Amino acid sequence: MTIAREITEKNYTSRTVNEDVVLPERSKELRISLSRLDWPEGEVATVDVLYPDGTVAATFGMSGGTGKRSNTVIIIRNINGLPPGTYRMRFNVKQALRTAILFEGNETFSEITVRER
Amino acid sequence: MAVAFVKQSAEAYGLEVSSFAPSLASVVAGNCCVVTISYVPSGTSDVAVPTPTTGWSVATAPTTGDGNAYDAHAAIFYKQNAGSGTQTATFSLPAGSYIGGQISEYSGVSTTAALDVAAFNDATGSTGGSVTTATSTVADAVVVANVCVIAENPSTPPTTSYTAIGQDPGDNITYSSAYKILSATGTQSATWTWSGAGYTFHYIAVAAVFKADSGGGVDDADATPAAGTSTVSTVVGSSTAATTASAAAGVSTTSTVVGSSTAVTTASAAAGTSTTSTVVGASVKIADVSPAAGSSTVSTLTGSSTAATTTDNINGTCIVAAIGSSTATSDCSAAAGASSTSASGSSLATADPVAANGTSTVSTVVGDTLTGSNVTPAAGTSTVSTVVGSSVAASTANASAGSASVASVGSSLATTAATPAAGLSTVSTVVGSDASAPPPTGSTTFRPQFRPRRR
Repeated sequence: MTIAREITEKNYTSRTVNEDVVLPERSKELRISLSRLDWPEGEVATVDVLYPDGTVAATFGMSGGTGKRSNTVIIIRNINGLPPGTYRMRFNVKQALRTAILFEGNETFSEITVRER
Repeated sequence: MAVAFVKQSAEAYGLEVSSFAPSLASVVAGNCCVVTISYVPSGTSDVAVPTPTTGWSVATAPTTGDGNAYDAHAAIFYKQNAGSGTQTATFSLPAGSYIGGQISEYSGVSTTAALDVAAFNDATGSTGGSVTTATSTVADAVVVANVCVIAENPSTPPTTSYTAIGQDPGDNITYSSAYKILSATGTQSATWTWSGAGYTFHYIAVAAVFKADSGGGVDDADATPAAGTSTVSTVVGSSTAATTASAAAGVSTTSTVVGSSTAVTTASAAAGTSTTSTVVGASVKIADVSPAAGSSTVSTLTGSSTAATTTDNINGTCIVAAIGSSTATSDCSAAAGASSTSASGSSLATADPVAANGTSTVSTVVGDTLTGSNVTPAAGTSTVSTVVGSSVAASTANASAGSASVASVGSSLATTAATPAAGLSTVSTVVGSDASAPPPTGSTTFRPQFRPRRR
């Protein structure tokens, strides 16, 4: 697992923020982790993950309140490898929140755990 | 055009999310998109699997589980005849859910009736699991399978020539999705293995077969309207003949013969519109629809019914409906107004509904009926519809004026004439030699407790 970019903990207001990351070569997986720092109840944000060509790979919604984990994890991956280039995380913040964001590239698939241990 | 895999989206997975929307760009219009999801709800188990936004249909989405939190769920949805451009399936989830999946695109799949059979298996296994569908009906097809399990490292792809479209290497929630292009009918199975011996794991495995809409036909027959438009299209399978659609005036169409039908015969309209469409399976016969004026329709014969009988309509409304293997569904006569007869059981005959005026309908004969027959209104509308079972013949719908319909489903020997003297005549949809889709396989009564792996 290679850290491609790390955004330290900070506050986000209600707006759309684009965060770009260059995926390391030969990556099969892009993993984005957002720390959940006392997020407010209800829907707080959506995240669109865009390929280097600008098309959307997937969109995820996130809600606040108590979760099972201390972070939300978003994974985009392909067995045959992801297209190289600059990926964009379009962060549509709907309620003010505080988070740190970690972008990681991986040449193999990382494990998904339901519960942190 | 044979069914073929076109492309897939990246796998997407969200942990601690409240909505999920995988996208696939540059989809070709008319293709079929399939989305497979693996889902772990945030709350307790046995919840309904979320359904995507409008435009997607459920292939299989079982609401099952082992009663515990962090339980595995799996489902398959599809969009037949998808529009061009980007296709997105949006799922709304309880906050804090875990979900993953992808969209795959296939060409050559039917644009009107893509789903052939589907199944799920809610079970447990210490080293592996599987799912098996009922017998598929069309050789040219694709099966898509998906498993979600609280275990480690499902094999990818499933056994017997599947190609992986998604896989998680696993820790304690894993999934594996794959497809296989088919060239023969039959039951379709997918089998996975996984590690973690010593524990019994709950899993949901799902599979769905999507069938072609063309190819492999023996004979596309004549479409010869004296005036207007006539079309014969899409004969698939081992049909020996799809014959004539003739319209003296108006529009005549014969379309979509699939399976081992021995004959699909004539749809003739002296005036108006005549249509014959969609014969699937071991059809033997669907008979005459001959209104002197108005609309006539023959549609949907499935099973091995020998006949569905007579509906005579002078005026008013008359309905005969038989379901099952009844020995007789008898007369329904209305001098005026509405009349209906219905039965369930082992029907030998669906007899005469007679209405002096108005509308006459024979509908829904399911089982071993022997006759499926005449609809002959002197005026008004007459309909015979939906014979399911072992029908040998669904015979005549005659309307001297007004409209007449015969609709049936099953293993009939022939689809014969739709011959309105004027008006609209339609023959459509003969499906399969089975009376109904088999139930999903593999339900178990054993509900073990989920025991997470310890490190």
